[in-house]
Amino acid sequence: MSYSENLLTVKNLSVHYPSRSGWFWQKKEPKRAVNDISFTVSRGKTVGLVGESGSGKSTTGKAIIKLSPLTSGQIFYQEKEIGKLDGAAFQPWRKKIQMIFQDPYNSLNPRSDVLGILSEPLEIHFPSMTNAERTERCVDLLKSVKLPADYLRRYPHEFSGGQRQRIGIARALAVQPELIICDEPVSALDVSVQAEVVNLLQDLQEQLGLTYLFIAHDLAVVEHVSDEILVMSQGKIVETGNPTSVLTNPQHPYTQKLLSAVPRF
Amino acid sequence: MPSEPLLNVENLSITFSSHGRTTKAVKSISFSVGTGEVLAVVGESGSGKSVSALSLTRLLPSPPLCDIQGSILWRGRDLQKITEDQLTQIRGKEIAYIFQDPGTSLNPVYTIGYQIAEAVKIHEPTIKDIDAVVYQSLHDVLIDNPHKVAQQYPHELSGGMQQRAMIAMALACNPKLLVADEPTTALDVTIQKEIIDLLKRLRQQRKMSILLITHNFGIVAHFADRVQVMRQGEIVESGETTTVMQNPAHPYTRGLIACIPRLGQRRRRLTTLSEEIKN
Repeated sequence: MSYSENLLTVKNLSVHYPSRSGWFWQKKEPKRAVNDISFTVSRGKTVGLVGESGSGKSTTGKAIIKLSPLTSGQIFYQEKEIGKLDGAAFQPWRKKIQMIFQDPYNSLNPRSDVLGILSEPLEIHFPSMTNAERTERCVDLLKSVKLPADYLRRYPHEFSGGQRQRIGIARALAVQPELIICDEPVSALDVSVQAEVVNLLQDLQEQLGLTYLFIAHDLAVVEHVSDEILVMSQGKIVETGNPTSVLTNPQHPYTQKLLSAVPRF
Repeated sequence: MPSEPLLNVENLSITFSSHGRTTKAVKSISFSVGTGEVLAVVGESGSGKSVSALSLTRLLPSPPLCDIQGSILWRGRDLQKITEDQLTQIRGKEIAYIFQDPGTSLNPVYTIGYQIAEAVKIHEPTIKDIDAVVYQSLHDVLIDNPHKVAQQYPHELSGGMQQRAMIAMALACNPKLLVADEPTTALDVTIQKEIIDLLKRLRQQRKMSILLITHNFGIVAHFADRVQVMRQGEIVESGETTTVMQNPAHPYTRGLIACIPRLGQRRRRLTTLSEEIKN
């Protein structure tokens, strides 16, 4: 594995949502959520994707794991084109690419205990595992996100936001992914809990050699975690580069506007 | 800003009981808000900041679920002792609220205009031309086309516009105190700045006091006159914003400020709060 191996390559990705309204449900101009963007993510690195709500950053993340429909463009995982695979053919890549969601309150099944939440991906991707092995693996997963093993039998409503987000991270780690798409993983958390979760993500990256696509609107957090940063506005990438240079010397007016809005003290 | 206290809370304690267990959410705190003053309350989730704000106008469950002790003096009257009818004259009219999540705080089945009109009808029954008040209040929160927005439903508006509509509704009756409970937490930075700038302007125009609940120190630094830091139901530190921000006296305040990642200051790891400091 070379140092700068491209794990994910996105070429000319577009996601357009058809829109209809008015008399007789007429077709209108489609909503261009993501419009012809290209970028690469190297193995073991973190690429930060910033932009305001509606800029298309979450849609980009979702399109990579087929939670949003692809209108055009190509997505390569290493050498393999995965953008056009469907259903069962895409399954092996769902194991390599996992996602962590913004809202720890709505992204965990309220009727399932932690053991159920963590073992579901294991049942799908490792069908040969025995129950005992699965439970053991779930305990290890809880340990890796620094939660005690006796939480296995508890339900999501018993946890705080930070603990739920850790469970979300454990679920993503369950299938031993290589790339994790973090969609605003700390936006819903308090500053103190945010710091803990960010540190955890960075520790896991070092231990497991993970690659992150880190989507967020908090520029300071993105600057902290990223090796490279992409700024999105209205479905397009308007600026890229290393975080320090993009954020200390922004070239694009949109980046400048975004930076000037951050309250400083 | 020295001024007579508009709100004076003394020894406020809030206890929740359920299934035989009691939780002390707020432990004997005292604070005051002066006329035209902005007081920020910061702290982690569960520190009791929202609960203490809700208790001011009986927005918490009634006993025996929730027990409130202490005095809440609003312009000299104890809000704990007045009747529900008298409180209705104050809640929404003199003390108004805006909440964190405008998407769930607005009623999805009524238009924005209807919801603002409702507040005006209750508190200002003598006003004939309610529409004019609705349009004016939407205009005041810098909505360009008040007539159109008044006819729209919450789901047709963006998060920033929804929060403006919430502010318009809160301000329609000219409150003396606005309680803003994490007004920008659900919004991204550019919209956050617009909303904070808007609140700053409105506060100046109307000489209104604001009780700002947040965990964003950036906003506190730019907006609040005074700040108080809460931890586990207690106020651990309070004072002038500049003093507290530049020379935090309590280790918890120092810890909270240190947790925040700042632009142009790449550290290998973020500082976290130790268990000791948290408790």
